[in-house]
Amino acid sequence: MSSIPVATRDIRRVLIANRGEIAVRIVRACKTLGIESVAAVSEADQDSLAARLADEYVVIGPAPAAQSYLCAELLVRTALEQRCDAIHPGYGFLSERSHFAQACEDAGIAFIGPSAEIIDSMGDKITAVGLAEKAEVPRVPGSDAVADAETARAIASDIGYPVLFKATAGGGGRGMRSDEEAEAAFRSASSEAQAAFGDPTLYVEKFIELARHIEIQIMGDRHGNVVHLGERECSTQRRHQKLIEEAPSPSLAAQTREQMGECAVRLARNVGYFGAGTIEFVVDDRDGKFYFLEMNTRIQVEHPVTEMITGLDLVAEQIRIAAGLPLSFSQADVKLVGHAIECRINAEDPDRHFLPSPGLVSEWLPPKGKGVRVDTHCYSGATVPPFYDSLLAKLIVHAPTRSEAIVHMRKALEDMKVVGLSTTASFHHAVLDHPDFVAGLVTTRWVEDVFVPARKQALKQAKERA
Amino acid sequence: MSLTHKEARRILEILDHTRHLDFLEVRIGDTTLTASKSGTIERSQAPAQGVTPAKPAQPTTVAATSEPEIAAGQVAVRATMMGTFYRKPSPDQPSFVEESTLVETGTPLCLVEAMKLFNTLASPVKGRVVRIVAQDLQMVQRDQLLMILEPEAR
Repeated sequence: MSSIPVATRDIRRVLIANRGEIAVRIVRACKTLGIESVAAVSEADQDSLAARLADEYVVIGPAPAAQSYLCAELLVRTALEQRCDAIHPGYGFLSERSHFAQACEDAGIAFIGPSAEIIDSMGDKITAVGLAEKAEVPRVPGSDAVADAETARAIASDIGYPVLFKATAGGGGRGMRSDEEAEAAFRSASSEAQAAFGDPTLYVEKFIELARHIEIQIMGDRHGNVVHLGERECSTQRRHQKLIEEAPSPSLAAQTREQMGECAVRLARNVGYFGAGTIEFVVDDRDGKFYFLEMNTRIQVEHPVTEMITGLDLVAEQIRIAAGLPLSFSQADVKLVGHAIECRINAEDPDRHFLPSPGLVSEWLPPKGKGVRVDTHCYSGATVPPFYDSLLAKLIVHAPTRSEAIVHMRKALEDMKVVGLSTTASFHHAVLDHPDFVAGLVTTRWVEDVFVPARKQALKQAKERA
Repeated sequence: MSLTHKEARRILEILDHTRHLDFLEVRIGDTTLTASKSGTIERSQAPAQGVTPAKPAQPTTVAATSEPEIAAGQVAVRATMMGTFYRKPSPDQPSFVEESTLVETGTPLCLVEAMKLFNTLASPVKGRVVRIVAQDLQMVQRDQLLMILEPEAR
């Protein structure tokens, strides 16, 4: 491997600039590495599990995130005051804000993640797509701005229907199935764009009706090494929010997996990526073709499924990378063993339109057993504040095969006992019972188009019978 | 001597866990903590100054005012979840309704926000807003009374 000398820097004390389960996860990684952790918490999180488990905690501001977890300056100052030599941003909040990464480095504190420059280039969707193209990573077939209806029709039939006509100024776009529809649709979409954005410019993009969301986990160090850790399939979504993730994907051919991994590594290497990152792809379920969607320059919520099948500690590795150390494994060392599934247990009522359910967790009894892992910030007596997201826990199971993992997950969901607030555990159980999920047929619109309507119908019928 | 946040919270947890207790008053030195389960009891006295306020996220309402009477025929609008009560669609816009505003069935009355989700509460009846009970931007509990409506006489 190339060996640009990078001075290793001491990381002995990490400020955790996040909350919830990921803050707990970071504390654990610090403990594994034998370094100290300081939890930066809002007033609402003083009794949080992260505050209890970290070596120290410091209250940084009031409950609203804008006055605490989103205050870059405040967090950097806190890190300096607390004599921390690194900041872990977790996911969400400031994790993908380049100005925060820069402010950390300017203050002489290691930002646990890639450089501000990389965050900027990969975080901007248009720049990222351009970089992907340069690295010969396929992108969703489409065009640049289209001048007139006739050209649009020609491009559309070239790409193959269905296509979308999208305004360059934004918005979802208009679907098209045939040449007959195309020209009239182009004109009306164009005038709609003019009315909505004051700009009638349109472009054409292939519309993938049955899409799977599959992403590749990569890790890179500051010495030019980049390794991929296989994929995660996250097609079980509701309103673009991931609900269940698994690895490996039940749908991917070995050859496609290899190609996607190579693409991800090539793109990461091209931009000199270091740290943990995820390259998201949309996979057309009809022909198995994959297209670059975007890159997340941080640790992902669903990183545990990858940890389960690789046996690696991604958060500890992030910290090692930030310290300038080379990756502790090579591509050849990465072996994917068995199957892992993760269910995101949220404080929401699945039978009341997923209405948030914050409040006191009077009883918290997580499931236990071989291959069962629970990443959570809950405990009996914890309060789930209404100010932040609704994630209570990630329930992860690991088993030799997918069907065994599904059975274990059902059992784990049954064994989970939460008193005091509503959770989505029953919803997950119903999904895992569904023949479509068992057969690995779930695509990104399945929950909303197939599962939820059927569940509503069943509940209604049950009510009528009663 | 005063209560720490942790101590105050522990007291509230005890209250929340018990079935037989609806109301608690704890005096330590010159600090008084008065707490009641949401809407179950009339507060005997105003809380003393300097009380460690429970954070709004608490499931137990500290010094909850008693719920005003709802006359026969009137309709109560209650919070669908714990969260922040908003009278305006956004800070620079006027309130959805005022007291005495005439509303149709489905007219938006207010918002309750929790966990980044805004829930719009719409009027269940055609009629008039009689009283707006909850305070703008305050934390409300699930089922807490927000407004009272008077349906139009038929």
